[in-house]
Amino acid sequence: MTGPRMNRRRFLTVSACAGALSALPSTLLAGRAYRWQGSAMGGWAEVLLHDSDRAAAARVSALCMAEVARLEREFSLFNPSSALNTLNRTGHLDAPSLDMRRVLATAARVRSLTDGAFDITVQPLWEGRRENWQSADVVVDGGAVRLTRPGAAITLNGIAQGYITDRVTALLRGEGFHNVLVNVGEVRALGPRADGTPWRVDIGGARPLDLADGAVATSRQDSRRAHLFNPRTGEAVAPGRSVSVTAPTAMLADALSTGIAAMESRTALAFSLHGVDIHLHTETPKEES
Amino acid sequence: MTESRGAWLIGDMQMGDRKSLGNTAFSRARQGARGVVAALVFLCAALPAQASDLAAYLDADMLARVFPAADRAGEAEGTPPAAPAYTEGRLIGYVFLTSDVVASAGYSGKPVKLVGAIDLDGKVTGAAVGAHQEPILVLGIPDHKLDLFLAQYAGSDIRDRIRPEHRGGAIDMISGATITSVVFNDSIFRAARLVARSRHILAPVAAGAGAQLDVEGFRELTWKALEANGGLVRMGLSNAEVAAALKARPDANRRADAPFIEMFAGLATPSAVGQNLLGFSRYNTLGEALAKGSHALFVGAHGLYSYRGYQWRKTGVFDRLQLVQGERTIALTKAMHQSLESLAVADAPDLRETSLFVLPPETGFDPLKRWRLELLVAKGDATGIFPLTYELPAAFVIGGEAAQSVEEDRPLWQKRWIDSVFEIVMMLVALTFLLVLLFFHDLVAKSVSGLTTFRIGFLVFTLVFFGWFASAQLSVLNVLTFIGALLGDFHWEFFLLEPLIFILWSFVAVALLFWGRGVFCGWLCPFGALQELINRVSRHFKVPQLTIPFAVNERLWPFKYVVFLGLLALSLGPAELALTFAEVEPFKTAISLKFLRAFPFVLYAGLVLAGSIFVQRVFCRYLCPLGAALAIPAENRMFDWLKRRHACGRECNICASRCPVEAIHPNGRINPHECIYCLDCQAIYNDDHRCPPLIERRKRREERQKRKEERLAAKQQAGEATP
Repeated sequence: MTGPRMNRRRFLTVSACAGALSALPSTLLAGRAYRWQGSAMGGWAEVLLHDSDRAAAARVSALCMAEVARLEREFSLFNPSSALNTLNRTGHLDAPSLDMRRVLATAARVRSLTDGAFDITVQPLWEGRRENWQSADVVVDGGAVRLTRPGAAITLNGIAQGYITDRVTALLRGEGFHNVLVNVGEVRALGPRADGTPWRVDIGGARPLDLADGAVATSRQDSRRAHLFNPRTGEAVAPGRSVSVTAPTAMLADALSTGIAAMESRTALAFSLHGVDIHLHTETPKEES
Repeated sequence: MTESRGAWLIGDMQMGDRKSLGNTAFSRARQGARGVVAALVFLCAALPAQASDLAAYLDADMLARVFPAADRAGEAEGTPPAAPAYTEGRLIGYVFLTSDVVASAGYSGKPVKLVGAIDLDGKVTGAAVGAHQEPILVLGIPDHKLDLFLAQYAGSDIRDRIRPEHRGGAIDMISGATITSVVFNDSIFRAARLVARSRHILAPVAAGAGAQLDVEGFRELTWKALEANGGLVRMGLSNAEVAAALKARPDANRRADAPFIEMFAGLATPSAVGQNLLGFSRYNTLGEALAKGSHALFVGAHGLYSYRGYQWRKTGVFDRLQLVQGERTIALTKAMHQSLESLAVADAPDLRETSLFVLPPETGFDPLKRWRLELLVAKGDATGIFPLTYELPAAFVIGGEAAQSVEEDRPLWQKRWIDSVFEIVMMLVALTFLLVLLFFHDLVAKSVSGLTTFRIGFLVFTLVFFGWFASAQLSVLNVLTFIGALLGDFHWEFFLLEPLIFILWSFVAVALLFWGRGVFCGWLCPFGALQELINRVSRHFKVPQLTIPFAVNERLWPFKYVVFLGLLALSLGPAELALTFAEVEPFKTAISLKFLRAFPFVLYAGLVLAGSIFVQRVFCRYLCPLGAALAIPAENRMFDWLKRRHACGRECNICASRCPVEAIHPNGRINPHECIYCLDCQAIYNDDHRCPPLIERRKRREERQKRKEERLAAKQQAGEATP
């Protein structure tokens, strides 16, 4: 995951080629494709319109924007009245939405998969409250969400973007799009490009990644403001390493990449999971784009 | 396949359906039968569950014409009916018949049947004639040309307001069939937009101001009917689907294709849904809550999975459901929930669970906007959310349509007037000037140069603005159309469709009553203005003019009346011939089409105008059937303001020799049938340098003046002489 920042640019990129396209070379396809950029989780929006698919794309982009806005009301740290902030402020949340419950359920699952490396309760560390920090439990039962420890707070930035990406993808699939690349911080592909070739995603490494179906998420420590913390030690993870994970869903990829990035190198290299690909590379320290 | 059943359009104006074979009992019976059939068709078209006529016109050939990319079309279905078009099994658009979609009948009172098709991007892929009984396009515009015109729609975006534009717009008009092409354009785009909205190619009609949920309107509907019209939506999930979505292994104990859950949902607030589902008394008790702004959601399901779950009684929240609308996530709570023991509707399926959720206004739920019900399914850590989307059918909305699409549903003639505001205003201003002149012509005529300047200026304005810019040239075809309409079906809408022509004709009709044909012929006819201006130029360059002796002139006059009567006779009979022979008027070539036409027509117009170089207004004098038509009632005009003197004709023929159309008899009488009201004779009448009686008076005055001066001079001389 590329980490949260107040002024971080996020963009939603949807390249939607409706199925009616014939097999054209990808350069020509670029003319037929329709790129839409909006805003999610505090970032800015950019909208680029291309040609003949304008009608369908304009319509569906409105639906996507509404869905993203809806989920921001759930998960955004920057929206004081979001469900997340309500939980953090009061320690519990009544009648959580299905989306919240799904994200929390997946977070719990990935936490156990990574042996605790993925931990959403590191929020106090991000806020600078490191004294006596301990990992907390998030208890979800139908009626409410509870944090077991007073003063505990959660952050969903390591997973929510992936979830939003998945929801937007599902929306597009439901609207009949078959060749879609979605990016809300994490990248998810629905089908390959219209000509059958996989999408090419830059994950910061030497070669771009080929993505035909599924998601890829990349996490790296932000050198300016740490957002990745090792839950075992409470220390910020050293910058310089980037983790990319491909998985069937963006939510899973997001959470796993965050968790692996918070692991010690040895553990990270040894980590593997069926159906999931992990790419680790070391980066020279540079500004995040 | 096209049919034009004995109906015709003459020129720019449409007429009602006509008895084409004369007044026989057979043709009247036939017309009566047609009327009955048309009425039935019209009634049938007005029923909500429309049968579609599309199949009758959509054969392989037609499909290739309107949707070349498609290889197959399905049956017409849905509301409004449209046939899905496929290529290699993939849906790529819809084909429709305008009369199925736009239930309004055409201007003949009978449906216009155009076959149109749209793709999924909201573009028209093609259009062609199915059948029409519009009083249309005949030899001047044969059917193949009509199809060419319609073929130009391919590629048009239905959201653009593409209208046929006289002046080089996106789509050319059929020359000489202005109203028809506008009507066709209107039908195709309105129908296309309605089909596109219903198939979600266009965003559905957003609730405009005043759009309201139709809570009261009730009709008895079965469960199946509710599903069909969109009042209830359904989501079915099989075991296999759920397992795949959750990426879990399917349960071996359960059949893969067995229903995991089949869930139905619908907005129960409108009585058309709520009362049918709940029954009268249950729905009524609900009414109080609904009146306070709450809304009711019906949910029902059967299958292995329960949407209610087992926690809700304890926790107060339905943890397997949520309602999503736009940016809102609405949790469904115990407080909202009402159990339904049974359903009132007869053919409801066997449902394991049925619920009514009453959403209070605080939830912010908007019944007019799209919403979805999400079902959560969890297997261990794996969870899946399955959405059931609901779009309120237009049948349950009142008023909103008007707010949103008032542009489209406004009567066509109103749109035309609104579009032509500039030209209308200019025309009214010009007519006002003319009116002032007519009432005060004697004052204006006193200044020869003033009159000349005004006249030339007005003629140029008539030619350039009315003629070439606005194509507001009246034609004998208008007269024939009007007469035909009086004898057949008369609809004001036809004539209102051309605002400028309508205004002009109104003015000319009144002027005819007051002053005779001259007001039009001399001032408002662009072709006449063209002739006169050409002649003025030629005289300025001293081109020798051909003088036609009055006797010859007089004997040539009748010719135009013969032409007119001939056209009139033809128009009451075989209409096609009338249209052909009406080409004796070069107006279309010279004015409407600005000489962009086939060579023979241009040649003819050129010859007529060449005649104007040597003889003033030769066409107006001897050939113009419109002039003839306007000339016939001349004797009955009310005002005879053109002044003549006793001496006219007896002692003097100057006016007669100056008259541009030689309308003044040797005896001095102005022939009102021929006079074009140019007021030249009136100028002369007031001119004491040209009108002999005035010349005499002036001379005597000058004489008297001279003698007075002489006497004064003599007196002075005498005065000086005496010492």
